[in-house]
Amino acid sequence: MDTIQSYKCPCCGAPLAFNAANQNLHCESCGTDFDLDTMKQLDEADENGMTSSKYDWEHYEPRSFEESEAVNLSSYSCPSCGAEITGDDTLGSTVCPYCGNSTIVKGQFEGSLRPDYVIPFKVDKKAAMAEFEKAYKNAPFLPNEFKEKKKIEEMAGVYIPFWMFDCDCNADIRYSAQRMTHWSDANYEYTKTDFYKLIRSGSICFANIPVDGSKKADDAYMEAVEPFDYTDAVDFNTAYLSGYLADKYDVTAEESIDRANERVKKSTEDTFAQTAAGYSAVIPETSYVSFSNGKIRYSLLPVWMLNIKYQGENYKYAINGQTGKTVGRYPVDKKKKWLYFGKVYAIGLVVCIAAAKLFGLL
Amino acid sequence: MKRISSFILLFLVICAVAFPFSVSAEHPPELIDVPNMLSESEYIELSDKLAALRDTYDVDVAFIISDEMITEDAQAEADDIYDSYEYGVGENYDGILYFVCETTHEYAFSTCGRAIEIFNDDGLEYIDEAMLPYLKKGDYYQAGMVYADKCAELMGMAANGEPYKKKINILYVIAGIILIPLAAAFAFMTRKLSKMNTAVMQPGAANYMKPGSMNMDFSRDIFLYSTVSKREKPKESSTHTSSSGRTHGGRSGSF
Repeated sequence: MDTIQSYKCPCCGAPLAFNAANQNLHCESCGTDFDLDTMKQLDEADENGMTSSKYDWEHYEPRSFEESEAVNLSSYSCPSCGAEITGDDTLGSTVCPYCGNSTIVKGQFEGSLRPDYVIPFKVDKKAAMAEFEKAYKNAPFLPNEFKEKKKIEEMAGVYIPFWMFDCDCNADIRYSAQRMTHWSDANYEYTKTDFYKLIRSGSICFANIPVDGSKKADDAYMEAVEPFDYTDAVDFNTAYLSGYLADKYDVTAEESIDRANERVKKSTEDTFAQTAAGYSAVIPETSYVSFSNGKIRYSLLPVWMLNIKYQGENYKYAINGQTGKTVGRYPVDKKKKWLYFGKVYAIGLVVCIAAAKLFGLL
Repeated sequence: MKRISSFILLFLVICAVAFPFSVSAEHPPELIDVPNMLSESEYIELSDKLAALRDTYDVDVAFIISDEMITEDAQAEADDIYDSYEYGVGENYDGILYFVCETTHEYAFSTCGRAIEIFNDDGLEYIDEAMLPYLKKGDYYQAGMVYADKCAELMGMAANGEPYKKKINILYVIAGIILIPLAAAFAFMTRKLSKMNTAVMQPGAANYMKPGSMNMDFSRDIFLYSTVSKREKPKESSTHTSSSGRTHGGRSGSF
C-alpha cells in the first residue's frame, strides 16, 4: 500500500494542502505557497540529515604521579579560599595566587592527578610585569595615581589545570536566511524579501580546546587569557614546576564537557554560516552535532596571577605565561569617566544645535 | 451675476463627470455662493479680494459654497468643479479651490499645477485650521476672508522661494537636542568602559579549529517564498488624480 506523503509548512509547521489551481502546496494557517519541488528537496534533506546531537567523549582515566616524581613536591593549601596548590618542596613562604592570603599551609603531597601535558612558562616575571604595565596604559579611565599607589600583593606563576578537548565534529545545521532587494518608483519604496532554508552538512576538526579545570581560577579570566600555542606543549615532567606553583583540577573532565560542547557547537555554526554568502540575515534553526575521536587530556597551562591592592580593593589580573596577553578588571576613575562623558556630550550638543539651525528647526 | 444657482452648478458638475473638459467659456468666477450664505456686499468684497490674488500671483484662488454634492466625496466634488470650470492659470492650470457644502458640512481643497507646491500638505493644514472655527459658527464670509488672507500669505512665502512648512514644536526640538547627545555620550562611554574589564568569556572555539579541516559534504540553499512590502515615499505634497485624469493636490474634512 502506498503511503500518503504529507508536508508541514516550513514557516509555521501547519499541514500543507495541495492547491490544484496553482499546482502548489498551500498553508491555510499562514497563507504561504510552496512549490512541490521545494518541499521534496526539504523532505530529502530531512531524511538524510541527523535527528539529534551526540557528544561522545572518551572517558578520562586519571593518572597518578610516580613515587620518584613526588619526592620533591609539596602540597600547599589556603585556609582562606580553600585552594590546593602544588609546588616544589624548596618553595619558601608564599601567598595564595588566587586570593592573596599569606597564611598558606604546607602539607604532604598526594601523588594523584598527574597531568598529561604542560606548556612551560616562556614569559618570566619581569616580562610579565612589563606586559601588565603595557596593558594598563590602554585602560582609558584608569586613575592617574594607579601606577604609583598600586600595591602588588602577589605575583605568582601558576600552572592552571585545563582539560583539553580534541574532536572531529560532524554537523548538520539548518539555517533560515533572508535576501532583501529594494527598489522604488515615483510614489513607493518596495522591499522584496526572499526566504530560504539553508542546509549545511559536513565535518570540522578541533584540537586542544581548553576548559578551565580549577574552581578557584575564574573561568572568565582563564578563557580571556587564551589562546595558547600548543606546539610548545610537552609531556609533563615535574621539572617544569620548579619555581612555580601548580593547581590541580577540582572540576572533573565530565563536568567540563558541557562548556567544550557549547564552544564547539557555536564555532561550527558560525563557520558553516560563513559558507552562506549574499544573505542579509542567516539564523541557525536546528543544529545537530556529533563527535568522533573525542579525546580529553589533562594539561597544565602557564598563567601569571597578579593580585593588586588599590584603595582598599583587590584587583586580579591574569597574564598568559606563554604570550604575555594580560586580562583583568581595572579600577575606574569616576572623574575621568564623567569628564569624557561631558566632552562627548558637549560635542554632540554643538553638532545638534548646528544641525537644528541648518535645517531651520531653531 | 451675484449667484450661480444650484441647478447650474449641478449641471456643470454632471457635465464634468460625464464629459471631462467639456465646459469651457470665459474665466470662471472666483466666488460661487449657491445657498446665498453671503450678503451682497460680502460677496463683492470677497470676490474682489480673490480676483486681486489671481492678478498678483498668477494663481487662481476660488471659493465655492454649495448646498448639495453629487459625487461620492467632497474631494472628488472639488476636483470636478475645478476641472469642469477650467479654473487655473496657464498651461498647468495653477490654482486653488475651496469647496464647502453647507448642508452636509463637508469641505475640500483642490490644488493644481504650481499651486500643489505652494499649498503643500502643511500649507493646506494651516489654512484649514484657520478657517474651521468660522465654518463651525456658520460664518462663511469670515471663513472666506481668512481663506483669501492665508492664501495670500502662502503665495507670498512661495514667491520668496520658501513655501510654507509646518514648524516642529520647539519643545520636541529642544528635547532632541538634549537627548540625542546624551544617548551618544552614554554609548561612547559604555564602549570605553568595556576596555576596563578584559576578563570575558570566549564565545566559541575558533582558535582551536584545525586549519583546512572543514569539509562540506552537503550544501543546499532552498528558496521557500517571497514577500513584497511597499511604503509610500515621504512627500512635501500628496497628490491624487481626478476623474478627468488631471493631477491635483488637496485636503478634505467636515465640521
